[in-house]
Amino acid sequence: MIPPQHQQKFQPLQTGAESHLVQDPTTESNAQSVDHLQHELHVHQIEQEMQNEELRRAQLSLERSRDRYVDLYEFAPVGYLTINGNGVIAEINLKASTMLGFERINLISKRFPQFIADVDKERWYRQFLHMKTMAEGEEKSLELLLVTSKKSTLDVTLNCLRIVDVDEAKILRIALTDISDRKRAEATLKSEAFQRSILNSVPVEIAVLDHDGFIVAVNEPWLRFAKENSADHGKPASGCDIGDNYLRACRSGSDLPLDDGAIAVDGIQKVLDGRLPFFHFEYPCDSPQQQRWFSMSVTPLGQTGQVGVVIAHTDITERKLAELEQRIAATAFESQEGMMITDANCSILKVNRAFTNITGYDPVDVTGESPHMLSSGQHDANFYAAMWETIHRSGGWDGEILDRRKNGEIYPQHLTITAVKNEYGSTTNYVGSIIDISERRKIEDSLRNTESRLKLAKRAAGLGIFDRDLIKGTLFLDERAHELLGLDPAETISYEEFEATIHPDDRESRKTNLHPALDPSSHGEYHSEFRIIWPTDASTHWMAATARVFFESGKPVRTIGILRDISEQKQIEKEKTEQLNAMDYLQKLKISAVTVSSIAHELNQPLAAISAYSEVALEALDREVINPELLRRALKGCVEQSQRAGKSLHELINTTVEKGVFAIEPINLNSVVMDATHFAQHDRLERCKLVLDLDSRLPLVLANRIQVQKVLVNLLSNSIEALGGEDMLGRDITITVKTGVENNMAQLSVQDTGPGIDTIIAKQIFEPFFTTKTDGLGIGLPISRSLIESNGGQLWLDQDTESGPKFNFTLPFAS
Amino acid sequence: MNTPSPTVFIVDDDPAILDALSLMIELEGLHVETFESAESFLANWQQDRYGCIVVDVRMPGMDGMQLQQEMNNRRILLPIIFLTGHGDIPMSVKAIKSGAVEFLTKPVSRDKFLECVHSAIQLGDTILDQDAKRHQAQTVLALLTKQEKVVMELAIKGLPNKVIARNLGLSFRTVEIHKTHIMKKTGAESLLDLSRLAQEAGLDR
Repeated sequence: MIPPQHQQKFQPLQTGAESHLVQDPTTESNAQSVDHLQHELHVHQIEQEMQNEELRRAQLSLERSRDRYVDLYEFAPVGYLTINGNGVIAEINLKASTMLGFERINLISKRFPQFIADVDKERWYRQFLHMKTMAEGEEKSLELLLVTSKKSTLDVTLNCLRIVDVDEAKILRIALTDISDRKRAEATLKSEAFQRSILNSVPVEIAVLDHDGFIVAVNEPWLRFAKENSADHGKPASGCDIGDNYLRACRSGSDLPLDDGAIAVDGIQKVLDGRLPFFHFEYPCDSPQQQRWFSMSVTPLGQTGQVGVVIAHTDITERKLAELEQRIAATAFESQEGMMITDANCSILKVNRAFTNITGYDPVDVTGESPHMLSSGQHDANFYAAMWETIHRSGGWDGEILDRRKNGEIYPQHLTITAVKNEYGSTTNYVGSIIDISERRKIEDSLRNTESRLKLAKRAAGLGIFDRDLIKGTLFLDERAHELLGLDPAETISYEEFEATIHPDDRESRKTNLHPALDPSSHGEYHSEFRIIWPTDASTHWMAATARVFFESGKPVRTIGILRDISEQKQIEKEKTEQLNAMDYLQKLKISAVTVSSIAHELNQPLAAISAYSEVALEALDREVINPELLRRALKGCVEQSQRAGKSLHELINTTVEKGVFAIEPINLNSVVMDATHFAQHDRLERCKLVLDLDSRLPLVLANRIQVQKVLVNLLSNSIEALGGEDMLGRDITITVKTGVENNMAQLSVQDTGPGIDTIIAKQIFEPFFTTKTDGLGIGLPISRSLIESNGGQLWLDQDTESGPKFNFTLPFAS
Repeated sequence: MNTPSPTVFIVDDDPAILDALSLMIELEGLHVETFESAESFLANWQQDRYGCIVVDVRMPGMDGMQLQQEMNNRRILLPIIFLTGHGDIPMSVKAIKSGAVEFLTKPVSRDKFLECVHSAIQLGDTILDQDAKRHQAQTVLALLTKQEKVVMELAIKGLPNKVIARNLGLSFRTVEIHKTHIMKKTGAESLLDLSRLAQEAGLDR
């Protein structure tokens, strides 16, 4: 192929040669014509040679030109290639093949798109189609990403020229320019700005610290935050602006609370020193307006923290609050109550552990099911209809319902259903909470049983209950306690009023029992027995109180106890004591009977002898011949025996006195009367009315208690027994014992309204061994008299026919 | 010493009582012997003595009741008059049941005492008489063989010979021979006589 400018230059030469060739050779056949022809030919030869030279020169020039073009084409800094209408590479220069990294031979006849990156293929096809329709000479440039032989990408600009080649084929001549560097530069430019804007738009405060802790860069939120939290408005808080030392600021506590500041400094320092790859720290930092939390993330700038660190500071208050709320909600959901959440269609979404514990159903058993599966069948449709009506009307339902557990057991539960509504007022969920009340029911039942049993036991035992509140000063008494205290059941009394009903003699002893129990270091229990005087009839009742004191913070606050009427027990105790006393008395009586018997024997022996001697003497005197010897013997016997009797008697008295039985001391005559009436009371006295008329102010008397008591018992027994001899039926007999002061002596009188004493007998009753009683010893009155006399008093009988016989004795006072 | 008259024995630990009562008895003309203890009375007892005995219930050593027991054991057949310081009814009942004649409370009047002594002496005679008869009857009955004693015991109950024979597994004839021997040995003239003899010997008890 010859370039057009060369064609033009060689055109005349070519045309002359051609015209020569087309001239008729016959016309040139004359003589002269040969020379001429020769000449002509010679000239022509020269011309030809000249032409040849011209051509050779032209060829050389052309060759040079071609070489220049090849050089220009192949080694231009731009890749060239030609693509035919099918997109196949027809020609490609070296630069282009180098750019693509393939041998030229491997590129020729290859389809161009296979070297285009996938991302740009689609675009290329579109452009290519468009370019095919372009007019000749029209140009189009585009940027594409190519794939090189090393699978790396290459950014290029394509300048495409639409031409028609020599073969009339429409081709696309393309210049490829590598724009990677420019692209990279662009990208770099683009990302920096982008990142900066991103950094500024994230709601995270970011600061970059150099290795020494100085702030070298911050984003806008950081600055904003630093300004907002600054004491000096409009200026960032100290230590938070570029150029400030952040670590120092943290240490000084200007930004963070001191403790947290220390933790932050430590963490940042560790990342700076490369000891930690990352540091994250969350801490509360409340503003005056609200509760706030922040997080601090410290990451090294570059591979380690040697260059510096990036601090990302975020307000996590919302997250923290949400977490807190979530935790609260989760905790609340996992409460002791069984919880069940359904959607609006009553399909169970979630249940908690307590639900499983109560119903026996695991979450998988019930999720997606209707709560109806729990129904026990114990409630009719109306019940559920009413329940749902209430839920729809008021947004909830609350009540006790019987449900069925997984194991089939029917149990009572307290169910609360709440409808959850969205902001438009339509129900989105139902929340059901259930409390198993079967245990409570059981406890209630058993409590009721226990209570009724207790009540029964209490009633059976006749126990009254009292409950005293020491703080409020109130006193609770149950019905029985009211009864025991002789109060009207409706009547409430204060503790002081209660104390007033206690017998005055027992108040001290009760307090003595109660006092130690009020000491917080004690076990708080006490028992006390005391008499209560009923306000209604002033009757006396013995009570036993057993109680416990309760303490709060070292102080007695409450006393709860029981009251029991022990009057009967006390009566039995009293009777027992009396019986023991009576037995004691009988024992004494027996001993004294034995003593008396031995006295009697000692006296009786000589008396019997005297009696016999005397009769012998009398008989001897009656005889015709009086035997003086016999008489003397009998009378001598009488004398001897009389003396013996007297001697025995003295010995007896002396022995008894020596035994010290007769100790004389100051005694209370009234108490002797009480003791003596106990002795005398045990058998017969119940048939008589015993009246005691005792002078309570009687001074002490000086006497032997046992002797005085014996005398009094004798007098009482005499009265009772003398009365007992008569027909007592229908007779109202009163025995009166009276003490008092007469003529500077204590005087005691025993008088009965019995039949009285015969005047003749009355003269004899103080004689020894006189008795009107069949079983008596006959020594009562004489001994009584001698006993009283030995105590310095006197004993006598007043025969008062009007009010019955009256025995009196007197005793001297102690002072 | 051979004593033709009955004797009143007095046992009392009190010498004055012994002296006064013995004076009383002597004055009555009765023979009296006194002892200051039961033991001394028993030691001096001779079987041929008779009369009655006055005993104090309360004595040191052997007391009155024990003496009564011992006298029964030794077949001393004296009627007993007890003296006591105080009337103890249960004791007196017991004493009477054991053969005491009287239970007197000291001091006792002379009349009462002597009345009791006389009737006791009289009772003593009867007792001795009965005792002699028993002794004689027992001597007679001792002559009988064992078989004859058995036949006699049945016969005096009034059983006919036939029944006796059947009861004892003997022949009628043998019973008849036994009865003849019994009558001959005892000298009884009739079955009634034999029955009296057996009673006297104390066999009917």
